[in-house]
Amino acid sequence: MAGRIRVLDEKVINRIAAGEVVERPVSVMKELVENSIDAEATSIRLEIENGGKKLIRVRDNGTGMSHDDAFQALERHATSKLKTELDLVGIATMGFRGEALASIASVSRLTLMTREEADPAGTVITVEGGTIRSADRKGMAVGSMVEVRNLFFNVPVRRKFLKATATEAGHVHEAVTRFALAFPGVGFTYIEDGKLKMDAPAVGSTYERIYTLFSKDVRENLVEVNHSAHEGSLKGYVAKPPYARSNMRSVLTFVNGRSVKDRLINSAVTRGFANLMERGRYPFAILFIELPPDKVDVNVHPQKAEVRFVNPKQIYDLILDGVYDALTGAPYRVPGGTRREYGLPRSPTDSLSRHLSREDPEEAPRSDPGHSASPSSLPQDAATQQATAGGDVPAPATIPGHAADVTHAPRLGHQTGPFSSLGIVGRIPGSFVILHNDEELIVMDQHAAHERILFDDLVRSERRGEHLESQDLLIPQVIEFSVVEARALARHLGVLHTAGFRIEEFGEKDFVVKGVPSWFNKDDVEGLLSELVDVMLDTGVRGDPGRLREELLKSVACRTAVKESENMHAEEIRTLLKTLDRKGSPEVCPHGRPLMAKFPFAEIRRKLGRR
Amino acid sequence: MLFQIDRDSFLDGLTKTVPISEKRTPLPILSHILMNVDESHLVLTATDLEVGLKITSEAAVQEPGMLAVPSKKLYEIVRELLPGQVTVKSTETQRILIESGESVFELAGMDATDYPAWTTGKEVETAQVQASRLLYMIDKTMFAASTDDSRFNLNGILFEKEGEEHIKLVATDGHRLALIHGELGIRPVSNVIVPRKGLAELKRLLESLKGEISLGFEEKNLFVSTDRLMMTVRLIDGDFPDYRKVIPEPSDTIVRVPHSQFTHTLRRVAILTSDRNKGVNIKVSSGKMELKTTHPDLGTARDVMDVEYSGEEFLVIVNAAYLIEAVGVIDTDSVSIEFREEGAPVILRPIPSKDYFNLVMPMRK
Repeated sequence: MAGRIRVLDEKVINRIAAGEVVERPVSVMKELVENSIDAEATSIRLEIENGGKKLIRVRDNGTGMSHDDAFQALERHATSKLKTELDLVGIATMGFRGEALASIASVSRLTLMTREEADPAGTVITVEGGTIRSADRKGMAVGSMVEVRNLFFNVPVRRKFLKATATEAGHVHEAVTRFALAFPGVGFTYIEDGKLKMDAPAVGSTYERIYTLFSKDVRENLVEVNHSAHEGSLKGYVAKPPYARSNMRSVLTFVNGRSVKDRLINSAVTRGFANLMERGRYPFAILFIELPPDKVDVNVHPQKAEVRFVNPKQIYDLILDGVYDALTGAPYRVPGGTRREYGLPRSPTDSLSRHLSREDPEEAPRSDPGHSASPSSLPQDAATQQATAGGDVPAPATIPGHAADVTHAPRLGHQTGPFSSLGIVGRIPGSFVILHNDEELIVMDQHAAHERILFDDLVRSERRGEHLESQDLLIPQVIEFSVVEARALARHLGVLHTAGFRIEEFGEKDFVVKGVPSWFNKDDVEGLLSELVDVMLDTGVRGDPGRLREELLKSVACRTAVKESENMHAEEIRTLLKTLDRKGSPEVCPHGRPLMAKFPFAEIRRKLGRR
Repeated sequence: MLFQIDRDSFLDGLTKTVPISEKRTPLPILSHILMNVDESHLVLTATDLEVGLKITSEAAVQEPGMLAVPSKKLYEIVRELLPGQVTVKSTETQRILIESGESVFELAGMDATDYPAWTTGKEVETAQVQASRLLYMIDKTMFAASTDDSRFNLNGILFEKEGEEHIKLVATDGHRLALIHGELGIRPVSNVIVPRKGLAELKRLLESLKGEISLGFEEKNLFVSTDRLMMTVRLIDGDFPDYRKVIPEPSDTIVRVPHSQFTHTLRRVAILTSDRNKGVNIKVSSGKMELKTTHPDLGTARDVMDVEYSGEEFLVIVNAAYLIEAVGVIDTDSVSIEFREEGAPVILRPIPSKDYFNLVMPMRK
């Protein structure tokens, strides 16, 4: 039976390739937008209908293609971006595989319109299921437009696998957002079923782009990340806790401008937030990793979402250190702000505030004690600001009775930070501290606040290589563990030693404690050790001494911090607030619980029946 | 119940008993004082179930009776009354009327039969002891007892029989230990631990008394009494660790320091210790002792003093607060400090030697 094995014909090859490249509407959209960006477009307009199942249209003002190139582009492995195998090593363009257009064309009804500057007229080609149906010349502006209709019309199985319209549209929207963040210099317009969903004009920086794309609560919590190590650099923004999301989808990461969803990167980001997030909460982060092209392989995945690093450990550390330092470093580096600023400035540029006021007319800049208003604020903004500050601000009053131990008006002025500018109302006996600013009543968990300060100190002194003191015990204490626990404990004795425990193995399951850290006031060594052994068992399999060390430091901080029931004097509260400012600590305790609960006066007024 | 009593004598009894009952308690009756009136006496009783105190005062009684009365309010009322006679009367409805001059108070009480009964130790063998002697022995040891409720057996002073005649008091929190031995004329049946809480009350009582008291032990209780009052302190059930093992043989490395200078030097350098850096680095060389502390955030302190020592230079780190407390209970002008190899205890003794010493475990870094 000769002639059984045949070379596949071009159409079949394209359809197979389409399976890899084109999975769903969002993949089509990504390929097309990447092409536009590679064609140096400064404005890209996207339009989808029915979640992209019915229509995906991408129009750009890039360089466009000549008549001949347009035909060439519809062939498989046709690309303007690579010429030889050697070029693969240093890829700096978005697309390069040369599969996109041909693959998409093989599974849809595709129209390509394109015009080069040198060409007096554009080229219009229509393809249906991979077969060119018509080709024409037509007058048009320089640039390209690709219209993809009825995706998978000839692959019913694929079509069945597409999800609901809303889901597909959601994926597209997310991808557009990622592009918009990666390329602030490109204007993006995104239309879903005729409705304008995003209108992001070209801006000078990612930060301005974030302003356009994200809501106020995100923007207010952002801190800047800027870290370099070895040959890599990490830049971007993270939202400081307690701001958190309920899934990982708001961790947006880019490697050399390419949006990636990489497990290594994500786990490094999560680690960076480890002592700041409650379990089950996820960070908000927009991070750009820049690496020399030969240190990263983007050619692992047809959709280019995964990447492979030459030195993953360095990348992991780069991200972890960058994120951690940004979140815990004092003071926060905040874009456009001065050294002592803690929030994003209200209006970074005139064009931006114009943009804001159009998009978000409700949002008036708030009065902000301790911060200088941005000099570029529009005059009407300043007026609003004054009105807010001088209007119906509830004046702090002395409340007779227990809680009125201390009453201080919020301190206005430029030299104070956000914490020390808060007014102290008092404390509830045996419980929390009550503070206020112009807009909110604030309940502070002094234990958590103190714990945060102590923990940060400990981490810092540990990094400086300081050992914790150990107090020898008069009578060594023998503690028995289960076999599994004992094995975990034996493996991690070194970490415990640096923390000030002097523990030795004493038979198979017994350990003898000869010294305890001097911070350890309570004598319940057994209790603390079994807590720590739990952590060891939790992490021990993967052998994460780092986490164990942190867990230890958390215990140290927790046990040395003031207790919730301890009454603090006004001066002590004041000092605590000042220390929080000085350290620039995030507003969460090491276990990730918030330090403060805020109750806007507006809400309180509403509850009291006042409008 | 109906009687007249002198306001000052009434107040004196309350001043001693109210602190015991006043504590926050889930049992409302414990925040009350039991008034028990017989033919010629008023007996005030307060207890928190750990410590009980009974005080007897002379009174002109017309009608005996019993009632539990809110202790704090009763105390506040009597304290504010003018000197002179006070008339106290109970009503049918378990209320008490307190009258003095034109002042009249009516206070709601509780049924006296609900008041917890506690052992009176009437049949216990007792010995006459100077109040100041018992107080002295407690003061020399109590500071070293653990303040951590989770280790209840270290949470007090061990009273131990020693030989045929003597008694030994030992306290430790696991990091340091204080010991005194001597004679009290009576010894506990077996070794007992007197809890910190009871010691505090006992100490306060002893401080207010002059002369002799009767001291007695029962398996579960300690009794201290005079002709008009009696205190019962409940003892802890629990094994005291075997402290003998940790008391080392005498050492040759002995440094003699003047008491007050050493105390002041320690206090000065201790200023720069912190929660996590409690240690003072002590370097002893021939004739000199150098003390250094480091506060991780703030800075360092260094002080040098002349001491009596000839021998090799050595270095030891000790918790500054422990040292200050240990030196603090020594009541002679000179102190001897015995050092040993690393990890072995530092022992402080009065010079000339007396019936007590204390011991501190060093630290490491």
